[in-house]
Amino acid sequence: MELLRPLVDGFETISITGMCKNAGKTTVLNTITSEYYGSCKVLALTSVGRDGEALDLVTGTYKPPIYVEKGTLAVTVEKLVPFCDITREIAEVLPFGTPMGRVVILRALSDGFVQLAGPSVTEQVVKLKDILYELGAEKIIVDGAINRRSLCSARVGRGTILCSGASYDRNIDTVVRDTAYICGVLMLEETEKRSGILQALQDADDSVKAICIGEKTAYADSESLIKEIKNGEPEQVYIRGALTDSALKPLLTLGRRISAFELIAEDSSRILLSQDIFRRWQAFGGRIRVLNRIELLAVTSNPYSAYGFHFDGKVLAARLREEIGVPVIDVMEGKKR
Amino acid sequence: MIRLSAENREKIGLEYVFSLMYPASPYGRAALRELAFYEPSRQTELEKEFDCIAALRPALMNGSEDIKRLRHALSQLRYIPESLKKLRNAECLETTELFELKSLLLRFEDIYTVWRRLAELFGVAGLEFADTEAALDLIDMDGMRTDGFHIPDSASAELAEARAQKRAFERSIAAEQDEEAKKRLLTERTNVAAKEAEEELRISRELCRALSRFAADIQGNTAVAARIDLLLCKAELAEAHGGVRPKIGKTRICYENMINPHAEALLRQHGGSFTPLSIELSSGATVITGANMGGKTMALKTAALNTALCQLGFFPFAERAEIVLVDGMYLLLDDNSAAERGLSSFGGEVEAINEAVSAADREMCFIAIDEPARGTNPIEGAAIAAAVVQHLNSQNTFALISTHYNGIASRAGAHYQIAGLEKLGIGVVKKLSHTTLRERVAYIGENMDYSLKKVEKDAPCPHEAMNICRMMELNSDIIDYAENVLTKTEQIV
Repeated sequence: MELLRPLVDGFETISITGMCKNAGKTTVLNTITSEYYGSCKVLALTSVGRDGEALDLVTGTYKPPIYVEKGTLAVTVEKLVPFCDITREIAEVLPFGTPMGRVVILRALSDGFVQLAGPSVTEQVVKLKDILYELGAEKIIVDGAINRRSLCSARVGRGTILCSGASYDRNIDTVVRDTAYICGVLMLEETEKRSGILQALQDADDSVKAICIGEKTAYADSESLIKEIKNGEPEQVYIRGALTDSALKPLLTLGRRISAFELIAEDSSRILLSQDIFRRWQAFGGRIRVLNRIELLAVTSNPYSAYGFHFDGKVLAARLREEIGVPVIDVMEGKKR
Repeated sequence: MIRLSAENREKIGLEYVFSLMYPASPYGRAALRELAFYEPSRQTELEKEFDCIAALRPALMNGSEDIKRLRHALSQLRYIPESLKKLRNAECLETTELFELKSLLLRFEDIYTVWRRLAELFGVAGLEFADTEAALDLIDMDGMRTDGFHIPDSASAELAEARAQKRAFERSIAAEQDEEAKKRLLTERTNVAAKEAEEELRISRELCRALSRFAADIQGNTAVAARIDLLLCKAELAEAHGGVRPKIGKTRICYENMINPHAEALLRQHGGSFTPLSIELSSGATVITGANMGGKTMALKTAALNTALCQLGFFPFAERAEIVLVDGMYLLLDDNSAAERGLSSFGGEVEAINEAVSAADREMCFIAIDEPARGTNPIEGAAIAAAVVQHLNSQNTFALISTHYNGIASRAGAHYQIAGLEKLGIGVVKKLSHTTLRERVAYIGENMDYSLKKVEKDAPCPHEAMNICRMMELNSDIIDYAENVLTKTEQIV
């Protein structure tokens, strides 16, 4: 039975994001590759960053290996090439350096195991994607780094799958609450007036931290922003870079006034607010939108924890479904069936 | 041996000239960082370099499609000096290195064709690539000439067999529904994969051994590519900034209407322009005198820049140039560096002069000294400067010395002066009497004539400082008094 393919089929690039490590990202990736097996679609697989904790010190390998089909493009690094047992063509060696050598694109000339590792700098990922397309990739899957939501940036992948599970917390309530919150952030709507912001961004120099757009456009830094909002009565306030608690707290002093404008971040990955501040903002009627929307395709729930305890898979999935408006899939359960 | 400190390269505008160059290949960029001077013993090579620039200059205009193609191919070259070194020692390369080597050899095939055509069309001689197609045939094992690198099944019977076995397992794995059976198949597959890896390694070793005899040729070709890359940049510079092929002679260093692109760019930013300078240095010392702010230092820097460029194999920026190849260059352009070395500025200056003078005793040098002994008391300073000029004038060397002091130039072989404010005449003071300070400063700037002119050896230093004081309406008592003192001092000297 196909669990994930119907969800990801319409997207050229998909990123897989974890709520924590051992949330089951590799299982999700392997599920996708197996569901595409024999489809003649050229998949390209890459992983974002190299997570120190993910390095298995016993075998010296990086992550649980991924089994790919002949024809797949797999991104890895020089030192991990010998750990890939596919018959392979070296399709490209990129100048992006990592502690484990440069980034290498392999073309699988047979089925087999690969170790994925790729660049983590957004610009490099974007460049890598171009090269993968040039080499014939039809669908790119980016294995996001654990606990680093920033890497599901819209520029990296328009569709994303969020992996959650028992490894996140011992308390099922915490798992459900936090997963629902992250989903809420990932599902924020795109602003309807993108063009105005894109235009204003073109004229903004590096010192600009915020742009107020109303009858006229005003550029502000963190100090002058409140004044600009009070005087200018903007309809949209675009915040450059990360949207953090410390950026938002001073604005909360504006009280009900914040309901008059849309607060806009580049994409969901830029929103690093605590749940408390996020809720307070909403309580005052504040709206948060994004410039580039990421499509949350599904949440996967893994009831098994790497720390020796587990939840009832059905209960976890059911509780998540209650809170989240996208498909919730128990990948392990699917496997058993 | 010619050595220029980073500071001096910066000061004379040489680094700026380098910054105007955009080598397409990583080999060209590396060669630019390690550019060496042509010493007199390499005159023939230098002439060849000039021949190539002269030949390529029209190619930039008339061979533009091929030049574009050539530069594109150059920009695609992989930078693999370490791999080539390994190959030369018959060490085994990693598969990623073999990929890069194959890519390099493929790009070279493009470069050979375009270059052969260009070289023939424009008569560029002496820059030939070794034929490495045989190496490409070795590394491109299936002969497809594709960009990727892989070892095909056909490489050995053992490899073909291992892969066939592996494929059979993969088919079974794909068809197997039972997880346990699948696991068993995967383990067996892993064993075959190990055999495959072993055989691939053996084949790679054999391949690298076979390739190693081409290593020297490939390295040589990267050096040729670097040279061509830089020659194109040099020709482009000459085209863009008015470079000229210098005549290499034995008796004089001579530039007609030379410019300094760095100074020119800075002046242009402020709406000004660079006044071309002409100067002829014979063996011995040549002295430049002139007004404050008149550009004595700039004249020194520009002569030094163009001389350095010639010996680095560039066309100097002038309308006409004749040079003598020197063994050393010594530039004392101000005393900042001395302070950094912890010496007093005068102490540092003496040390630097001594270094230049003793070099001039041994070998043919180009020496530029900006106002020697300016920091000490004027009587002693003038005496020291006069002595330095007198000494250098007796040497078989090319020394260019600027000074404020009177009576120095008579000891030199030639005397140049910055034209300065001479064309303004005395009437201008009246004309300026109702203007603001800012207007006056601008007026002085606009009317300063920066050109160099040859004057009598004993021509006195112009009293531009006094003129400027008058134009700026310095207190008239002070001006009168200064005039008075000046007349007496001149009588003493």
